[in-house]
Amino acid sequence: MVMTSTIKKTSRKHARIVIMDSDEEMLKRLTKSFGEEGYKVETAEQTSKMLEKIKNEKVDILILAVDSFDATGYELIPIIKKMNGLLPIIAISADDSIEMATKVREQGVFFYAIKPLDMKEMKLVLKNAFERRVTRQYEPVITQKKKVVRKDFEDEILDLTEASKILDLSKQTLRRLAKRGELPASRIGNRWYFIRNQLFEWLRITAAGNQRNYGTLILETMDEGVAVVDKRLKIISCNSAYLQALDVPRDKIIGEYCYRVSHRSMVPCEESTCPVRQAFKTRRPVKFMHVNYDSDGKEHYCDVIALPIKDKQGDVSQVLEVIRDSTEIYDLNKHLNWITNFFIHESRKTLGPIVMNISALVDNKLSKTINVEKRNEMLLSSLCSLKLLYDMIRNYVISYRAENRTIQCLKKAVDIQHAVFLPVIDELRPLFYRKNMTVETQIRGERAVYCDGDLMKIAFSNIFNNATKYGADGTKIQCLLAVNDEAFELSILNEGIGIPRNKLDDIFAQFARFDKQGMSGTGLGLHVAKMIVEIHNGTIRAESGFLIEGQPVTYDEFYGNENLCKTKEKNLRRFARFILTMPSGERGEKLEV
Amino acid sequence: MNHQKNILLVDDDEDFLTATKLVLEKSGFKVETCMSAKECLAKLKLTMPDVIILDVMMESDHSGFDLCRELKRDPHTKAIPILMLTAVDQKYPLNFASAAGDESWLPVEAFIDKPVEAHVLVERVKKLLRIE
Repeated sequence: MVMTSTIKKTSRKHARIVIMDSDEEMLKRLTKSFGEEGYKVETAEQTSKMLEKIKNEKVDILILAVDSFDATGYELIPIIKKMNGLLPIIAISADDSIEMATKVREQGVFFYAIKPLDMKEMKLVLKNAFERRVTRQYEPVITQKKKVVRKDFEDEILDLTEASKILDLSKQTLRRLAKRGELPASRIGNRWYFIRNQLFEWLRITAAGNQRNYGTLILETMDEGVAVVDKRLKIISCNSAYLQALDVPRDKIIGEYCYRVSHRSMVPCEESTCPVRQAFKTRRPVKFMHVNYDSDGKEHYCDVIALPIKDKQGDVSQVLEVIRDSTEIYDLNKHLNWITNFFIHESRKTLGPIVMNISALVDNKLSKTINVEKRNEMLLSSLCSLKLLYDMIRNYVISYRAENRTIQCLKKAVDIQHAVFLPVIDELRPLFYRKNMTVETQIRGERAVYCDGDLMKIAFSNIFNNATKYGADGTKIQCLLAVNDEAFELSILNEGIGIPRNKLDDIFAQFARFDKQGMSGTGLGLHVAKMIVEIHNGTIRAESGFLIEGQPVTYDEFYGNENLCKTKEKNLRRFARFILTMPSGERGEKLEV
Repeated sequence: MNHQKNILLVDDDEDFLTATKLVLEKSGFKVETCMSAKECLAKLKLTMPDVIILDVMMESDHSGFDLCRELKRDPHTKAIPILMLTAVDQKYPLNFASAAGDESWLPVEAFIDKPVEAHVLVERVKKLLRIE
């Protein structure tokens, strides 16, 4: 190590740097600044001149403005490398886009700096570049003194996981930095690879006072969109999440007024509603909720937090603006709110007739005027409404559980006819009675079905409920239950308003309800029935059409038949039919009841 | 009661209509019912009730609102007091109770939450009709 540092000290005075930039001011500044550091600085205004110098003369470091004459300066890099593979190239550019950084990095430069240059950082980079150059030139001498293992260790190629452990940075951040060319890395296929000593070198440079990059690094580790805003309300730095949240490229942001970027507004926000201005004013952290719009005009609900950055005197020189996009949470909340209000409305509505009936029956004055027949009618009506309310709560809970995948389906051999089908019809008898409806049942085959009996009861009950609700008074509900070794099928048909032809596919959707008057319920029943059937690997479908001479004719059959479709629809009664099909048992097992 | 007062009850819930009709009839009123805004407007061309009891949400979320505004604009029906019923949560999103009486927004004479007990509704109707 002593030997290396001696080489450095003695050699730096003779180190030749060639700078190529079309910006004369920049050339003068760099020449002066690096000259003071003891380097011999030469400038090249033309590409040919620069290449000539590299070819014929001894050049130790090249500083190349990749955007000098046109935007394709980085294309020179491979040519230079062919001429002198050991020459460290420091690329500089005023273009701070990720695209440019990636293109330059792909060519494999020693360092890439964005203008305005941080001179402290540049001097450090030069020092490192020169050390590497010297080390490489003297490599045979040094490696002779070191063990081979050591060299292998330093040149060790690391993958993302190993590099992430060494640098104590998340893989995500590391990948992001590598992608943006802010860290020396190579990409092979989809994977990133790093060289150990290059990583340490980068870390040294980053940590040794390059505050701008270090700051950016910290900003990059944050998931939220973060920007640093100065007193003029101009953005001076930001992270990728900020660009992503606002859907704008980096070059459109840096140096731009924050309100133009975040609100797409030409004027600053009112001071009272602007967290950044408030943070400057109060010198305290401020949080507000803002609605921002992306380039498609979609609303984004964002928590905007402004944190004051104070200088040594305690004055707020900049404000760190953190934008947390809460749209997803906001939307979810809105949805939950909607469901809750829907539920409250439906239950209060269903409670309406119950409270009216019961309160009338217990009212001293009123109850005396109500005869026994009327009283029974009122009680029956209340009972039906209560059943409706109970179903609503049950469906709501099942639907919630199914969505959260916490529904339990305990399958066993169930006597579908006696344990599910007939009890459900029995439970719903008050509803049938009230609408003066009859239920005609037809049962074919007897066999146990492998299913969750309780869930199946809910599915059956919901389909029957639907038939009762939408069936006309005094009509007949026709059901067919057929079971064999492969499958069982339940078909329930009702006469009534039917299902509009264009709504047949949507009828099982959550909160779907195409009712006319006098119907209540949450529009969850059929949705829940479908979920239950699907849990059992079954299917459910809806059919609707007209009743012709008492026989159901679907819309498709009706309109497909020349003679039939001449009939006036108005004169025809409609039907709705639900057909549920499910496998009878698992893997064809015969199950005992 | 000198002569029987007429009530027009508008609600899309059949069970509620049946129950409320019975209660009001047993309390001495003559009750007609209808289930939609359209039906209500048609009925008002034939009869002139002393009070209208109207649900906020029928075919759509706002049909009750729209109907009562229309009734208050029409010189023929303008003077009929309206008692509005709703099952919408009182706290959210709008506070109907405080808005009742606001001519431009909710031009109704009284407002009641659903569910409502029989005697509360009857008393409210009597108050509107200034009946002891």
